[in-house]
Amino acid sequence: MNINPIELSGILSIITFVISLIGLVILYGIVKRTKEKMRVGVLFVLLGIVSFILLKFFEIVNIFQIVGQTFMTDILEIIFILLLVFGVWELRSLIMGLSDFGQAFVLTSKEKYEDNLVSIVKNARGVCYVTIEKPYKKIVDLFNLYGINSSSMQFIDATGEKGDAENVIAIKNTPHDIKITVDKVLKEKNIKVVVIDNVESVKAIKKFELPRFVQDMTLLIKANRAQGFFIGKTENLEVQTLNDIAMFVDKVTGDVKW
Amino acid sequence: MVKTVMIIDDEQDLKEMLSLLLESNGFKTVSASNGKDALKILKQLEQKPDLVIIDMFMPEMSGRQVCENIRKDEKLKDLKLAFLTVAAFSGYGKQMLKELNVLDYILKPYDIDDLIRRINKMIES
Repeated sequence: MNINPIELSGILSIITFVISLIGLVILYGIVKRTKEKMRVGVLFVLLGIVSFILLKFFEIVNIFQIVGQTFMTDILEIIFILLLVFGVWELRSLIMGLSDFGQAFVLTSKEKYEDNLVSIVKNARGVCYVTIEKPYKKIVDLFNLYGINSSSMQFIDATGEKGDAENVIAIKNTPHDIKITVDKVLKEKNIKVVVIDNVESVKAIKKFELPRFVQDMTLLIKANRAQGFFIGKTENLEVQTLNDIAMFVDKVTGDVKW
Repeated sequence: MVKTVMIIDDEQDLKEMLSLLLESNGFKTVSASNGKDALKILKQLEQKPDLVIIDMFMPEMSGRQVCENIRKDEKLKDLKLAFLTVAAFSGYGKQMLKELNVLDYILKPYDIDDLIRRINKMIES
């Protein structure tokens, strides 16, 4: 079967045109649900898609000679590329965050500790919660209080309490035990988020080794394509240790100005 | 002229191995086992090293603290610095490297050719 190259090109342009229209609708939905700080970037990409659709439209009318040759396609091509570049530039922090499975150091005061924990886990799926200070039962009670269902979470309890539920693994509070257990859980289960609560409660470790523990953990979590949240209560951590730990994470968040 | 590299690392074996490696590649080396000693030695040296390589994790004073102290010292603040670490810095770590004016970081374990190339590049920068 012989297909005229012009016809083939036209068919391809029509298919791309239709796909772009669907993409436009999806992206519009994303813009509406996007947080303020990301909206500009997504809007640029949206406008880029609009210019791409127009570009395809003019290509189609050119191919089928509905109108004569026009330079509109060239202009739209430039606009499309420019908008896409601007959009990606605006979204660069988000894209970078996604690409390296962001590791965050959450600095919290004792007063805001619960709020910070809840904000991390409330919408997260596939959570592995490593509790080092408080027994997992207390953490479950806390989540219940905030209406968070923790039954699907995997707990690792390093407080010395015995785990009596299916989703709890009781371990010793040592960096080695924490590392190998988290690694095992990450490999065996579909974990997307690891919460280490909290870094200063890790025992059998010298103070200067704490940043190394955090670095090892970030490497392990990243290697398993998950996000890591390392909770640090500022009342218990020296500024120098905070600064050293911060070197190995992608961002420092929480309620404490630091 | 022979270039001098100072190595600050609390792990004796690693420090000696790095010294040997650099010396066999034509560098002169000076070393220290912790931040305090390193700062003392640096202040005493008439001919300052062309590059100071600092391990990130050391007792008493971390690599970052050593770096901060060097930058605060009027006589040492212009030294070229690099960190020794086991993993690449990202996000906040990169920002800190910029703030501390650290040229680069060397990943452990070393690839010898890459190590020498990076050290030469840092010294010439």
